[in-house]
Amino acid sequence: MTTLQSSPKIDKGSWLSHLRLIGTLAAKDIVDAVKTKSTLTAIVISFLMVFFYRYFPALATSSDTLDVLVYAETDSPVVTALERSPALAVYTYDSRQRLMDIFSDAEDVELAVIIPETAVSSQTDSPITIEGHVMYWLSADQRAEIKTLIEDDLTAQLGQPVTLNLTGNDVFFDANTFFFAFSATTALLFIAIMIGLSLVSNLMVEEKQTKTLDALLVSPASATDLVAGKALAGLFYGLVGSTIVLIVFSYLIIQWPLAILAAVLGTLFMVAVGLLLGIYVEARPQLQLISWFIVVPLLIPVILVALEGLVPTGAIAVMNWIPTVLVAKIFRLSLTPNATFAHYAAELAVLVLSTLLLLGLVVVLVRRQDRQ
Amino acid sequence: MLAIEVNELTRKYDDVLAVDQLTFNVQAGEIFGFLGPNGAGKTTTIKMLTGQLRPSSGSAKVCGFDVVTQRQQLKPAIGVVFEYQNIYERMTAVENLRFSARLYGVNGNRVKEVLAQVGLQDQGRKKSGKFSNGMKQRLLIARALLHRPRVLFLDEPTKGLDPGVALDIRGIVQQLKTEGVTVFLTTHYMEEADRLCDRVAILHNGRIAALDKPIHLKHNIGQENATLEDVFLALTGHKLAERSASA
Repeated sequence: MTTLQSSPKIDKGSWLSHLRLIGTLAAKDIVDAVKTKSTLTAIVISFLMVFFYRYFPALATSSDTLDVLVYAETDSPVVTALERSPALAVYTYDSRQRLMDIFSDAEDVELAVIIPETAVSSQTDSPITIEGHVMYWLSADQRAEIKTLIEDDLTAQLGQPVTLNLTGNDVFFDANTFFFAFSATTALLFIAIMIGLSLVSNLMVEEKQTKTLDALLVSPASATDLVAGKALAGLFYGLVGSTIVLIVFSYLIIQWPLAILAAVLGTLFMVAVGLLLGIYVEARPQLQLISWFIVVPLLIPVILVALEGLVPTGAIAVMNWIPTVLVAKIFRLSLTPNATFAHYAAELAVLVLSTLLLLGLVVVLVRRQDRQ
Repeated sequence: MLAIEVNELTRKYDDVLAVDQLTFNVQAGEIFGFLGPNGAGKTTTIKMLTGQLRPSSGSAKVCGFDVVTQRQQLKPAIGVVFEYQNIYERMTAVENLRFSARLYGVNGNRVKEVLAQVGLQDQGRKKSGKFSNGMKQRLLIARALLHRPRVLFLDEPTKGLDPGVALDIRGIVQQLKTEGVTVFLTTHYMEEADRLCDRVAILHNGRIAALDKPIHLKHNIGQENATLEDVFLALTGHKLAERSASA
């Protein structure tokens, strides 16, 4: 008996053809995502949250006067002059250490001033030099404005030239306690979680609900291509979101490669979680319910580990290895000047490993479910 | 030439035997009707022949490709119209087809051709979610034909459609036969199968109860002016028995 030989173009499964299929599937999902009300809402809410995290604290603490934190090595007319200035709100401290401890948590534009003992005896026309400290994230314009304000004010009051030395005196915050570091981290994780749980899983579940999945699985696309396409679409939105977070909080970031690494790994991990969820869940209401149960153990520990003393040490030790907490740690380190590879090697290894494990699990499950 | 070769194809779902040792062939260019009551195993058979479902035992080749081991090679050779209308409703007809064209590596110009082939040439820019059932069904057929498959699987393509649209779809199927496309058709409409199909297989409880040309099946039943529906009812049991009892 003769058998019909097929003449259509046969996809031999080359890498290029798989990439073409994955690109086609991802492009469809990227365009389609913005047409879906629920997904669009999730994206918009995520971006609103980012801007809320960034700008709400600044609005809440806005003031017409510049806060100046002062430590004088001895009684000084400079302190009196500073206190007399209507443009300044002066807080004095009894030790240099205490001053710097308080100042390192500064969340607004502030100035720390150290007045040396030599400033007291300056009764001549020689200039008085005082040591000023500002947070590293202040712009050049802000620094110039502070310098001019202080120097002009003190020079006028004291009748002799005053120089505020800001060079080389930048202060870096404690990344574990600084509010903006916390809010930037939360914004980054929030975007990744929303993209993973709302977008990626939804893309999978919708294909099942509308049964378009069946049409895709008889097309040249394999189940793995399909999942890779969804992952790519999620990664696209995740990275767009992360980029916005990084831009919004760019003034804080010192180690950009580390910040980008945290953003990419955080997004990849949540995309993998979203894919896994999408494989198991059959309907959207079920998806929404389960998503809440996933958000809690992923996001809450990020907050809890910062609350030392309130949470038992043992619980914190465990939570410290939750992937989202690891992303937060790595991202916070990117906001500090001295973090080296040794500081985050273990965290990075666990995060990469858990993401790869999840993605591997997704591929195994998809292949198994592909043909039952 | 054989387009489909099925050899003792069997599928079990846990302890339920959905398809039981099916053996049949379909010639190239033939319109082959696959009939049976609900739950007879029609859709399960289509799913196995299109590579969506792994057989429990037995084998099958479509266009010469084994449905288990040569699935990726099989895919471009077949087109499938499912029993449900699984299109992307937020996309227009053209967008749906362009997406499929990209998956199959087909030139975008083919989109216009298939839209014209199914009579949707003026509806291409309309959101497919706003289509009537008949238009959606035409779009599904267009999608299945986009890559010029050698074998087209149609799972109840006229179900729930008004007679005019059903007639048009039958016309499209007949046209495909003239182009040499092999059509594997399941339907509940016996008259449709009688008109369209070169041969029909009647499936009952997962097994083929009869397989022949409609005219032979009607002749063999031994009933004057028998229709294919009479044959179907006789082979699948139920209503013919009721008729006999009431007579």
